[in-house]
Amino acid sequence: MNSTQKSLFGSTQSPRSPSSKPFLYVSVTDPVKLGNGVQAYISYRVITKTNFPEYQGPEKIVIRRYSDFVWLRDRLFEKYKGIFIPPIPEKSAVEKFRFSAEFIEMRRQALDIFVNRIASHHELQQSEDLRTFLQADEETMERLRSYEIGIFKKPSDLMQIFKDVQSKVSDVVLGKEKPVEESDPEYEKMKQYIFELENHLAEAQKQAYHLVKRHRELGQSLSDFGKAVKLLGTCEGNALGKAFSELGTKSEALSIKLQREAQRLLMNFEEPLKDYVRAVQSIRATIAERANAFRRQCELAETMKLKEINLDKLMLTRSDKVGEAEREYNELKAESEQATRTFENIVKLMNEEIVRFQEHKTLDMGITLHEFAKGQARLANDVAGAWRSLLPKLEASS
Amino acid sequence: MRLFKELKQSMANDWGGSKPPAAEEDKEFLEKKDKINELEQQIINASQQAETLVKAQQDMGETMGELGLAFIKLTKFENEQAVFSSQRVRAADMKGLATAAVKASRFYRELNAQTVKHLDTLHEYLGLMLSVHGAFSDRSSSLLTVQTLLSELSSLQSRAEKLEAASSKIFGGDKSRLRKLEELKETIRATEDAKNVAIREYERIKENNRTELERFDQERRADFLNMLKGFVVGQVGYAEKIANVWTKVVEETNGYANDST
Repeated sequence: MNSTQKSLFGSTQSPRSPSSKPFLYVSVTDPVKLGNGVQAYISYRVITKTNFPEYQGPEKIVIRRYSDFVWLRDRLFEKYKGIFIPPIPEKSAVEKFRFSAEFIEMRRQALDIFVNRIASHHELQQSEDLRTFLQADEETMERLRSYEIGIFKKPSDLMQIFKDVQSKVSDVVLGKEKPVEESDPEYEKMKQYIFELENHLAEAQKQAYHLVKRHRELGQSLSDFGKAVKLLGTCEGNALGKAFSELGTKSEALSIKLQREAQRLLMNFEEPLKDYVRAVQSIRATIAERANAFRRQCELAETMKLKEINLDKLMLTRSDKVGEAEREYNELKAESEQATRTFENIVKLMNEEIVRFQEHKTLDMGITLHEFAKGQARLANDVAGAWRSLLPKLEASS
Repeated sequence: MRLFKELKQSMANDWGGSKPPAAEEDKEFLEKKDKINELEQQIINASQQAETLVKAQQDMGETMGELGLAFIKLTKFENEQAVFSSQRVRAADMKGLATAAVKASRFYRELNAQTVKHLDTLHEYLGLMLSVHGAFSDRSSSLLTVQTLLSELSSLQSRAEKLEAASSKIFGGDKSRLRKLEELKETIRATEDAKNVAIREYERIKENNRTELERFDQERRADFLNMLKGFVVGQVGYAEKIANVWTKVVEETNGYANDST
């Protein structure tokens, strides 16, 4: 690979010995279907191996379900504003009802990746909610999960709309017609990039899914063709009949290879692209949070100015309301400073996150593209080899 | 007149009436006919599945092309918008995939054109089957003619016998009966001639059919073998080309192989 790639992915030399290096590994395994009919759900075994001092021990195994993962994501989203929270696979009402082996494995894989991304993020891995998720017993988890669902009905989306309305109302109250937005050109460019990127990725994902279907269809047609050709061979008999029969057999064998490749493409090509789209959507949620933080900062600054003017007026008239006004002003000032700090922290984090995001995505994509090409090359070589083995027999027949 | 008699004869045949002398040979012929019909069914089936295969190959090529296009757009976008070098690296990687996908798409299209050409042989032979059926029906109708004439001859002869027996009983002869007998004998002679012509014609058609079928079998076997060879050679050739295209991408992205779990 070229030098740019190397500089991105060269492993950092750690002065510490491997045994003292902090680690946190999680694996999401053993999906088990529980419950019946519409109430059915999948439970997963979540195994944690760590040497972090905050954890109860070196290894812990808990049972978790999809909504527990959602809980974790929502908690992290609320607490770590500015950080791109790793995406979670979508809730799918239709698939859930069917619960095919394919769906179960894809979801397990996506959840495993989700938790491990959190575990390998230098800030998120310190999260108390993560520790709860990885260690709490099922009853505690259930309690937390049900409690949170009451407050955050539909995590980001609904809250977002609510906040948008809220801020629009206050904008009108403060006499503004347009919502207050940052005017940082670089940030604008980044936002635009994120919005457009989602569209491009969605298209790539769509085509990847179509490619999976084409492999299945080609596989099916090879199987049907093989059968038909074998029957034709039985009619013909002799050398020709044998040739037909062997061709038919090869065709059926290749059909199986194509079905396998279709499955592999679904898990290792289409799913990573879907994951990429989800990651971009997660960034959009963070962008919205930053906009909220900015608005709040502006609102508080404005309100503070008004309160300051009012306080000065009261001081001039030596009103006995000065004390109270002063207290209110100081409270507001503290809040305003907090809001500014929050906003600036989000900006700082996002700047770091976008660098990390781009680097990680290049690595992820590189692996995905490499595996895709490997699979296609292997398939094509198998196809060539299978058909090639027939040639000497066909030569002998003629 | 004869047409009506032949219709009566074929009905008599169907009702298990007088058995024509060619019954034994017909059994072999009937077996051959059955085999040809079975072969035709399998060719129809194979030809239909060949069409489905061709469609699937075509769709694969098209979608591969669409995938390449989607990645070309992504590449262009990342390059235009690049703020970080990691984006440019990713764009280069994606371009490799896009180029390969577009090339592979072209190869699928070319392969398919060849597949169509080769498997068309199946369709061709469906058409040729029509002439085989034609030959079979020629033979059947010729045999029917022979059978009709034979049975006509047989009934004419028995009538002649009856007339002779009846007129011999009358002393001094029966002028009208004798005249009738003479006419009848004329008819019998003519019918004999017609029968002989028909039999010769039937034998000619039978021999023709035999040699034609032999030729048909030989040609079909050769054509089908060529079809299979051509099909297989095409599949091998293009699979190799497609493999090369992807192998290049594997090599270009080998750096990531060490990082994957």
